Amino acid sequence: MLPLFVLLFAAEPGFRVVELPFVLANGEGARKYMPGTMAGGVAVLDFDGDGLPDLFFANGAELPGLSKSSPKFFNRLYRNVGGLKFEDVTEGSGLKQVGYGMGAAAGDYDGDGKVDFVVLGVGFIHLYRNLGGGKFEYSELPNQGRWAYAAQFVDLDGDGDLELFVVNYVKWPATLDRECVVSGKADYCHPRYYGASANQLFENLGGGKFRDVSVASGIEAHAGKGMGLAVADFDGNGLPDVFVTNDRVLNFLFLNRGKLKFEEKAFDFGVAVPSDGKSPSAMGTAALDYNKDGRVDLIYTALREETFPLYRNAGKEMVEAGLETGLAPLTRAMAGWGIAAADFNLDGWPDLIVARSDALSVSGGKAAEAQEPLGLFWNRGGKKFELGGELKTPSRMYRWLVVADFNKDGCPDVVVTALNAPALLIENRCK
Amino acid sequence: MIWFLILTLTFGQADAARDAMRAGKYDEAARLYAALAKQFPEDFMIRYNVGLALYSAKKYAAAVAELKVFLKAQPASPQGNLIAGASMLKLGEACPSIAYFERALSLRELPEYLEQRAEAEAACGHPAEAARWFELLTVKQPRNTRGWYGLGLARVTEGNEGAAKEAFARLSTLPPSPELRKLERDVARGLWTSGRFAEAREALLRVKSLGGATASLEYELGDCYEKLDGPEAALPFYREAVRLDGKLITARAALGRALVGLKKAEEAIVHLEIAARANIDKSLWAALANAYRMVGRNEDARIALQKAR
Repeated sequence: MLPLFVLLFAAEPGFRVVELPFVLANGEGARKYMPGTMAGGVAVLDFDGDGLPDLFFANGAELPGLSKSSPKFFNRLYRNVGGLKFEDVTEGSGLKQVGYGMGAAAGDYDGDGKVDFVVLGVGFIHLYRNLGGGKFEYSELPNQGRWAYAAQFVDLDGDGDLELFVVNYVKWPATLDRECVVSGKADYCHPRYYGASANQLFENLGGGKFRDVSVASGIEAHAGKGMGLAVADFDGNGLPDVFVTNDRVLNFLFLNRGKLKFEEKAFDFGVAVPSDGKSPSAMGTAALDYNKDGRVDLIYTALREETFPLYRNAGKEMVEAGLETGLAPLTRAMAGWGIAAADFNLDGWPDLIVARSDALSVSGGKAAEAQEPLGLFWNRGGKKFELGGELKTPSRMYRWLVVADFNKDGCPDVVVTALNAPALLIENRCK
Repeated sequence: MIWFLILTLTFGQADAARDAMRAGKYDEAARLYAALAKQFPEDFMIRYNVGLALYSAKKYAAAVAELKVFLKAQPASPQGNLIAGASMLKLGEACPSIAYFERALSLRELPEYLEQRAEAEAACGHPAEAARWFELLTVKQPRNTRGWYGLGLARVTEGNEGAAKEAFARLSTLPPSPELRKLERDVARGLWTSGRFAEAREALLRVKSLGGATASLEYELGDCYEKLDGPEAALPFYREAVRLDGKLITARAALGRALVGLKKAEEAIVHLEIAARANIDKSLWAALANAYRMVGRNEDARIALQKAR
């Protein structure tokens, strides 16, 4: 069993920052191949059913070859053994050590009471069906070589089993990778250099089987550069809708019309692009009812000068709420990736936590600005957000995060990944 | 006889190069000096002249290359070090240029050397060092506008508001001159383009207070206010920019975008329709589409969105 590494960074009362044994390896070298800046998926799942949330980390690979040529690139599964200790149970679990991993998502898709999961990556969708006893059965879903980036299991047709919605990023064959220079140094390219890709929807047929219904559902008709998704009933018709953030092109809002038919209505709903017309580098996203008016609101992260746009659901449309809540000025100088909403101080209002950092390389021309600390935003009564200074995390290239009560003390904790650095667990001692 | 002819031709070429420099024909001077340098590769003063001519012709990268060759042979040339450093500074290589100014100053402490050193330190992100050199400059030349202005800005960057105000106060006692105004305007714009909005706003407001208001200045001020305090604060400046120059599309676009963000869609449409048709940025069509949607002009919104895609 691997012990938790020592406490490295002092935190004020309330939060404790701990390094986990997993180190994300993005394969970055002198040449900046696009997948290198996008890695870092993590999923939380209680795969052994003991009531304690476990962790799966998707890992990078060699670039541009996309092969896991060294154990440092291996995906890892950790079992939560209590007391905030995690045991690496990767070996013998059935995890395939292939390809360049991106996002991951968990869900009991075969309905047997055991949580399964999916791993997305450059050119693949890998399913892992939980057989029990720490063993998983591997299978693949067709994705036509697309760069699968994020996903969610959700019952979209109301039949009781979980569909799989997969968000795809740009068209990126390694052979077409461009060399870009920022401030005189090699760096990651702007997404405009790569073509858009359509997302995918897989209908759950039962028994752990899926069917690709991307075309029939209307999802395939919309090509974007997807980076995140938030699933909730945004239009209040009782069916879960899917909001997809796109990198520097218009976002999508797939409104659920029932029977796995969707209409893309982001513009009509006011969330395709901020009011100034400039499509930001829309990244991670979260659905939340920040003002507790009973309607699901929306937020996503973006890069510097773009703010983290927050939308208040006004029923028939979303209204930008960044100025009225103070979030826009707070986040203007920040860059963010993963985001989650949770009530960290148990005051009844959902707060926000953001995995901050730039998309450009830490060794590039703008290296000094690349790394940032985590961002914590306290929700003050659904009216204002305030930047919390309590986390005291080091500045790193943070990417994805998950929220769960890892020590079962009733306070939501956070696990966050960062490029070429150990994952961090933020223990929340809210009581 | 042949040697005499060669000598005569060479002197003639050198004279022609000197005349070209005097006449401000720097490209020609550089070409003539370069030809001479080929004939006399051992004469390093000719390399210096090539470097100086190239610097004057704003061919900074080529000037640096020539002067590096010259300085290898004549490392103790204050002027050579100065021009090499100044060329690098122009190329945006502020930090490495400091070593050249340091050498030049160790050989000769002239005001223009002090000024260049201070500029390099400021551009390299060393405000305390910049302040030190600007201060020395103002001691040597108490009426040097650039010295007081640079000192004030360096103090602002340091966060020493009191000392900054003192420097700016000294500046305001100097007789106004077109040179001072131009200088202040250039510095203010430089701060704005480099994203230092708080400092830029202070500098732009100062330029404006000296009577230098123009449409572009109002637009830049508006942008600073928008970045620092949000779109509401920016509106008066954007409106003034458009009033002063209705053809300044960037200002009109910024005004339109800010108005949509503030849900003032009807007014936004007026400006965005003009700005979007100028075709400087496709995202203006998306802003216009948002404005149309807000006022219920859904078909117009659909068409505008199509143009944005």
